[in-house]
Amino acid sequence: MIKKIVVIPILFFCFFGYSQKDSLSVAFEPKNLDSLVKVLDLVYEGQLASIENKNRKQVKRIYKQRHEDLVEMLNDSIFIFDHKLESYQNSILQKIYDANPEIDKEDFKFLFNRSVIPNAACFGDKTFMVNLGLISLLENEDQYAFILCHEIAHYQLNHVNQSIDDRITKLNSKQVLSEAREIKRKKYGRTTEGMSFLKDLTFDFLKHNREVEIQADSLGFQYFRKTKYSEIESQRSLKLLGEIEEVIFKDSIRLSEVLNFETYPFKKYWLNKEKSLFDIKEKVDDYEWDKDSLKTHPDTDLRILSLNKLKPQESNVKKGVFSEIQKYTNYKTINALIDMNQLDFALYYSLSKIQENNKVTPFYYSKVAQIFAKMYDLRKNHKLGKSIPAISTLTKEKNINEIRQFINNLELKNIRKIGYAFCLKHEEIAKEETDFQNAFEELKQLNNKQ
Amino acid sequence: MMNKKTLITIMFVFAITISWSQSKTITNILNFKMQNSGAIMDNNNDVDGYYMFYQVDKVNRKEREYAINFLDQNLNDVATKKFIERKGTRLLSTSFNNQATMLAFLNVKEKQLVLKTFDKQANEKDDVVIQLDKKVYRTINILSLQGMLPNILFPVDNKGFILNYKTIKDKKVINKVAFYPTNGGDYWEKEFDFVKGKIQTIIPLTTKDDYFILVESLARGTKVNINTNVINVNTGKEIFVSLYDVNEPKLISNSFITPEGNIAILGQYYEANAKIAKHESLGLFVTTYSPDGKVISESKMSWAVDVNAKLKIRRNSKMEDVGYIFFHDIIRTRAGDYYAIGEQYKKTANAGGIALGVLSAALGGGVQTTGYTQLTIKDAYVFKFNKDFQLKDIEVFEKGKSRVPNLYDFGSPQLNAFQIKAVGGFDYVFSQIDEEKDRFYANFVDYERLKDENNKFAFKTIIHDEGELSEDKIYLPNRRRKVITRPLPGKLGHVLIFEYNRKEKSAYLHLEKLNIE
Repeated sequence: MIKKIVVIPILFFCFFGYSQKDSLSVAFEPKNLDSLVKVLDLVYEGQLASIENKNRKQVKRIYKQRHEDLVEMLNDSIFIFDHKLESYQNSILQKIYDANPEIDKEDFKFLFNRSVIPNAACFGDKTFMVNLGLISLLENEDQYAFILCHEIAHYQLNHVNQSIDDRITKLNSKQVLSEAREIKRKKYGRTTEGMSFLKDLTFDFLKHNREVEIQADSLGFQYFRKTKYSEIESQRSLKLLGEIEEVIFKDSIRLSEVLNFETYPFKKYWLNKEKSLFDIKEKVDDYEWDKDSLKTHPDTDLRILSLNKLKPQESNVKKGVFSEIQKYTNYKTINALIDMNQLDFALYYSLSKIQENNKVTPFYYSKVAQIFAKMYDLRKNHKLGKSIPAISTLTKEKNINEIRQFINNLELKNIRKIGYAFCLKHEEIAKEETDFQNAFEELKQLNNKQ
Repeated sequence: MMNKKTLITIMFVFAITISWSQSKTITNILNFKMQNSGAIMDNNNDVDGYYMFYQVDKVNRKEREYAINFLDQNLNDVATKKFIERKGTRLLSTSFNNQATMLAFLNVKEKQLVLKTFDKQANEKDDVVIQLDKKVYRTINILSLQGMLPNILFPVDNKGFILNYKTIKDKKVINKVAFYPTNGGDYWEKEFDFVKGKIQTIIPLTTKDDYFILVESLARGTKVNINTNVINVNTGKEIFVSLYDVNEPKLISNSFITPEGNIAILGQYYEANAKIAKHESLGLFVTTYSPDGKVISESKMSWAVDVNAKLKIRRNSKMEDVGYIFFHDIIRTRAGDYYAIGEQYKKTANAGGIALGVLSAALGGGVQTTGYTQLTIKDAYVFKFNKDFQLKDIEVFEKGKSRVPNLYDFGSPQLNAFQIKAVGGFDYVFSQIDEEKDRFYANFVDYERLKDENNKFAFKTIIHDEGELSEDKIYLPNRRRKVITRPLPGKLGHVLIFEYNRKEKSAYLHLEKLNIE
């Protein structure tokens, strides 16, 4: 539901670079917030002055909404500000700009969204967004550079603002207005005809969206080709993004193993699934619209095929600092998730690292201890339900859903006991970590009190 | 566990309208209206889902397109089904029996009850249409418009649904219960004979295993006779009836099937010839019947002897410093213990009402007949009995005082309490039973008066787990704030918190688990 409400308005002004997807201490506000907002204000005002549409007022309203949304996101801790990540990204951008001097890069702002969902976006007002989840998904710097090129191409081709312009023009066309008036005049069958009319308009707009994605791939590849990155990685990045269209959280967490302790054995019923009103695998909707026509992006295969026509060359991918940046991003992501009470994601990522390799850094052990201590606090104060999304019997994301079901099945006493047993078991590994020490002490006190 | 931020009326397909919000002309072409919404509950008051009922379109002069949007217990949108019905169709009741979801609609134009069933694949089954007599229709229509129509649909787990309604026979309004199977079984119905001069009410108590237990209340003024009927739910055949005995009047409030397959009936007992809606009870009782209706055992707990040993009894059920206790529910645990959940109340003078009466008289106004007295409701009391119904313990859970003006100043405090209970005046909301974990939750809404702090509203629950009682509470923000908060029924062991932001006109719903330390 959230998706519907949030995503659809964004379609008006934003092209999600690569389908969908959500941060050591984490700064959620830049040191220069005021000056950043001032720059955004200036760009916004400049864009207002350049509106040429006959229905200027309507276009202005959308630009205003876009600007306000962006400022609200800055104030709502949606973005993280980190010197190391910014420096790294700037070094890639510099390579792109140096190879493509025609890019009008003045006032470009690239922001890091704390979301774990791999995605990037161009807002059309010289602002770009990269989700931390994207860095975790990709395999090398070359792939990352291609995605940045793709987003820059959206801006250079004026896709966002042109789309707003086209839609407003269409919505104010004689044909659309007269059809809408006619439907409104109908005494009977008005909503049915209205929905059909809106469906046609939506499909038409989304079809255009899919077309411009191919254009951004193409121009983005031209920018990318001029750099020294491996051309073939453009296709590989698209493939990776295509793979997450079905399922993002691919690791199944073996909760009954990683959270089984001699002092407090894992209980099977912590994984019990809930029954629903209906035994269905997908939502049943008598008003459902064709899913393919609702896609914002073309199929990955089609995009790869289009890039193939440009004959991308294979060359060696240079080993750089990407894997180090990726590891750093994972730390940042988990800390941001804990800060924002998104404990389901934080537990998933931390346990996924622990089960994947027993020799992982003490950081992940420290985080699991911190997660259980915080989970206890939120549950005790009846705030956990506000921060963890609903369990769903219909979701394709079975792995993250299982984590949510597990958290939901735990009683308050289970939370403190699991947290404490975890600390006792892994004390040797994580005892030097401050967060671990604090969580351990807190959990110890909670268990001693009872 | 979940959260949802959404515009309140737009949980349905019409998220579309938001995407078109830039164009007023376009947005206005849709013309759907939300009719009502609520929780879909089962036998144990466990919320299995929620529904939203919309009128989507006008099909022609007589017909309308409606849609019912189902959300699961975690508020995920799981199904939206459309159908055509007559204009003015109203949704009266919903129920879920693990096999199907049944909805009872009132077709206002044709004066019909329409039962719609959706199976586990969300497929609509054949409708059941019941033609209502004008008189019966009028009663249902008025009560439903006033929001006072009691629930008419009862789930029988994995078997079907029971409809409790009135019909006409020999020109008299009689009560009827009808069973609609969902397991391939047979339909049956049972009619209750008309009793001249008495108001007959059928109150289903329990549907479990092969039994359907109901009470038939026959009232004339404060004189109420209560008969208990045990029916075979598969055939509709009466197994036995326990008739009201004037020499031993009983107010039956609960029933259940014991692990041995016997039938237990619980409630309060009175002295011979007492009027149960008026007089004070002598204590609590439980009678156990064999499946063929023979009394196996009867246990009683008296205020005068048993409770007096733990709380000082002044006379009959009135306790020293306590006043009276109104019992809302009696729950049996797997160990065989019984827990009676009650609230303390006293009849007190209503200062505001008296002042108003004096003012009214001084101004030469009419006679004020109500509002001089009130019920002052205070702490929650939980009585624990062993399997032989011997009182083992009384636990008191502190609550703030609630004052509810009496509907009538005359009558006993008991009668006033019954009247207040009927209009939902007590702080008690409902109980939920978790049979699997052998737990129960008794829920209250409390207004806490705090020292050195602003008074607070709280959702309070008394939880029975592993033989112990504990308490959990959630403070609700002050009602004057820009965000209005309401506790709503949630899935087992949870409460659904509804937050409405008056300024943004947006609603935020989140399920919170009730805590056992």
